[in-house]
Amino acid sequence: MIGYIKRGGSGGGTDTVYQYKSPLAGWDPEATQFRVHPGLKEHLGLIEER
Amino acid sequence: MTDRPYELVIGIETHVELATESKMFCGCAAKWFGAPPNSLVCPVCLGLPGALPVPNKRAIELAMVAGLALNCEVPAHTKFDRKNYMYPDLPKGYQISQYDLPLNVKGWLEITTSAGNKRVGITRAHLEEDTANSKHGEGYALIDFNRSGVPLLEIVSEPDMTSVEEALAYVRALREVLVFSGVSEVRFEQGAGRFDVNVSIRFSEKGAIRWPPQSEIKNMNSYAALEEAVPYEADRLWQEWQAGGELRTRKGKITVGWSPERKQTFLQRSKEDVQDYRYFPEPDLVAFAPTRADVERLRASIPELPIARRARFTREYGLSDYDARILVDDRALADFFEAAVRAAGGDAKTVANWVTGEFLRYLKNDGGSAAGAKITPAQLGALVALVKKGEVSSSAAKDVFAEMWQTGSAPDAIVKSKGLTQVSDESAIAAAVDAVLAENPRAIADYKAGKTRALAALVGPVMKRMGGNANPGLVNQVLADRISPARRGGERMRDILDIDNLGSIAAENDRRLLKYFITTPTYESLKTQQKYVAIGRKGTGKTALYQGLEAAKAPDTFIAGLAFNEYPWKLHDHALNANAAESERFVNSWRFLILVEAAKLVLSDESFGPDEPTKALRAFVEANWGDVKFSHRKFYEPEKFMVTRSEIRPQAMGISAAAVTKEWVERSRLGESIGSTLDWLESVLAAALARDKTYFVLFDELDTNFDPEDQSYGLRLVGLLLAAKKTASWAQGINRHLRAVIFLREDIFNHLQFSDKNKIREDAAITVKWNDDESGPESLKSLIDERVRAEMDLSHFERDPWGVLFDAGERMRGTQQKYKHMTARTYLRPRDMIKFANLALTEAQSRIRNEGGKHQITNVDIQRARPAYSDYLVSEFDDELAAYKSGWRDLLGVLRRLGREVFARAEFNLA
Ligand SMILES: [Zn+2]
Repeated sequence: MIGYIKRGGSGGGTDTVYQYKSPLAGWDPEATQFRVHPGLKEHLGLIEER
Repeated sequence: MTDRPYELVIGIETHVELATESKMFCGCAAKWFGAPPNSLVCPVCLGLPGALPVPNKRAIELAMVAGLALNCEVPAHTKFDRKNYMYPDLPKGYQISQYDLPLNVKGWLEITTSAGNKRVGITRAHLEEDTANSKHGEGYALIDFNRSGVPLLEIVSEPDMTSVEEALAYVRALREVLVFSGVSEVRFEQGAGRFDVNVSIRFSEKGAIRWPPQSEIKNMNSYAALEEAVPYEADRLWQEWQAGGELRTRKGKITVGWSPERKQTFLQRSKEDVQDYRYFPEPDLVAFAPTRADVERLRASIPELPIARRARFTREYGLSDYDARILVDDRALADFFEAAVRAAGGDAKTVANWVTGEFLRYLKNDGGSAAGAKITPAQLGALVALVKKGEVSSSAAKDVFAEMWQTGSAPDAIVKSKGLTQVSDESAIAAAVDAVLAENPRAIADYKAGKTRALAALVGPVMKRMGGNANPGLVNQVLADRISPARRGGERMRDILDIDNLGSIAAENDRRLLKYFITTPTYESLKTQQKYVAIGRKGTGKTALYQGLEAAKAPDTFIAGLAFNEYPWKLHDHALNANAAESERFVNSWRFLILVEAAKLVLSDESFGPDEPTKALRAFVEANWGDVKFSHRKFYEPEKFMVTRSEIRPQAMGISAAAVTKEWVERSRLGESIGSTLDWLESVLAAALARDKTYFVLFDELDTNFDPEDQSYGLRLVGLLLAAKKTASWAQGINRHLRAVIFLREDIFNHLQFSDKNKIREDAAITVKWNDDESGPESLKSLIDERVRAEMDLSHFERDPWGVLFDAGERMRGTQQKYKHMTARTYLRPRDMIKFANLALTEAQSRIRNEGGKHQITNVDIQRARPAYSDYLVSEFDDELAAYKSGWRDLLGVLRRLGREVFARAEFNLA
């Protein structure tokens, strides 16, 4: 539901790691940035980030 | 079928030498054919006084393998006997054989004739030693002892055959089984195998049935002899009866020989009685009892036999009987085919066409075997894949194949070097199409006037312009597209306003499901019984998989689909074994259910008449549940059960009927007393399950009423998983295709705690999963493609159904395409994707009705569907997470307050 943002992902940008997509990646307790699953945005009335 | 005035009754005794290195009771080499006379001998096989026999373990094992492959029972005890008679080829004056306790009894062999399949009973198969070879000349006889003492298996059939065709089919099938299981090379032509055929005739005369004594035609060693001798002797018996000959008064059988030169039988011995041989137990050898472990080890060593392989080829690959037969007749060819199918990634029928066509044609021309060909299965598979991908045309592929055959080079290298690459570049084809259309304005007018053939006339010119290398399917499609963009692939299709939706998100409510069911690798691994536990997150399509598998019912595939909603768990709990370890407590209650469901499947098979095992199963099921079609929900309803108890421990296979007693026990005592009944059921099912058929017992909807706190819920599931595991290893051990298949939610599986969990996850479980790739059987794209194809009535040749329904013109914001935009909003579950597409479809339909515009789903429609979709997704979470995490709704509140898609840890902590 919430993914953590990993720097230095493919192409040097950022990747969001979701548990449903990468069950083996685990949770990064050091992560500081998080992203809500895009499917929930409308329900929660979140502002999109580009 | 026949105009004979009598019925034929045929039984066959077959002798084959076993494929051992050494002889039966001594160390001399057993491969005697071609060796100089009397060069493979020792005191034992020359029968010199004082020499003692030492049994050859391998020979006994091979004899048991033969029995198992012939579905025989292995008796608890077996021994050797002396068969006494005097003949120069028998130096001891007796032959060591088996009389009343043979190694194998009561089996059967399935044969196939033009009338269909039939089981021929095997009375017994016993071990003995071969005799020496004698040659008779003018006034002298020569004896070669090389063959003396070679292990020989005598297989006696029941008199079950009623025609020459059946007799031939029997001998051929027997040879096939023995050769494939490695028991014997069955070299009839070398005298290392021979058969005696018992022929009798049965007819009615003046209202009475007449069945005069038979003739035994001895020592035949060719199919041709069998084919000629049997009708000859039967006719001779008939003539003799009509002429009032001695047959009318004779009591015993006679023994005759067959002269292939004169094409007639001749009398050898007029009377032969069992007592003549004065059988008695061989005092130099001890009786022995094969252990169950030995039997199971040997059973496991039997490879898949041809009849089973043929059945599997038709079932698994959808091949015709004819193709399956051609492939399986040559084991190397069948292996080649299967390896090529794997390399091609499916497309078995196409691979079969290549193997039985080009490959076999070259093989016949050049000689040699499939295993020795320069072209490898991987290469053929790669070639088939190239054709499928449209990179080479099927006619060019034949040239590529010819080159591969000669050089053994890889197909893609040949395609490149010879410039055979087929153009599948749509823009290149479109340019050629446009040029041709510009030259033929008339054809467009004709086509629009309804002359559809005008289109076909343009294919040739386009191909010519492309140098013959264009993908013809694509040329047709582009042509149709350019002439009339509303028609794709030249097929009529439905408008977006005519379709209701792309299916229900709940598989159990979707009657159209099978129409767009796609066969995923997960489905294949269940259907081929490589795996038997399907786990997946909620909404990933487990129930669709269950329904797809249930629909695989076929004449050779028997399926019991059991749904466990509204199952009376309380009744089931009565059958638990309170004395067992916690995780084992429910195992036997489930094994009982699985084995009885398997018995019900066997009893539903109408292709075989009732035999002893099926009669026993029917009696058992009827005694306990009244009829053989009762619902699994009533399984533990009876308050008393009739169980079986064997007085001796089951030795090897099968318990003799006399050793089994039946008694009634209370349901509450079932758990502790069911063990011996399970043994009994297994032994009867081992004989009743057909070797070439497949049986499934499916367990679905186990997750209704799941409560992670309810311990007995978890223990029931653990018991079921362990019971399925036992069932699989038992069935594998006896070479039968029975599986209990369990469909289970991933979170529930993860929640269970038991020691074999990792083993089951590794060996038995497969996870149902989907991806956001743009092709491939597990992509959400192909799932939506099939639904669009079905709902919009698109042709099977349509390569991009998605593109028919979804507008491809503009892109979504940034570089994301609609598909990626949608999948990113799902949890990679079909349920989410279907829901999203359905909501977007509804938006598109109301936009078209109210505002007009494109008859496709556009970006605007998807944007408008997002709020409703988002609500849906949250409600899905609610269902799944509420059971475990009570605080999750608070989390939603916090996120709402944060108000942003991306947030930092510190902000979250503040909110
Ligand atoms: Zn010897």
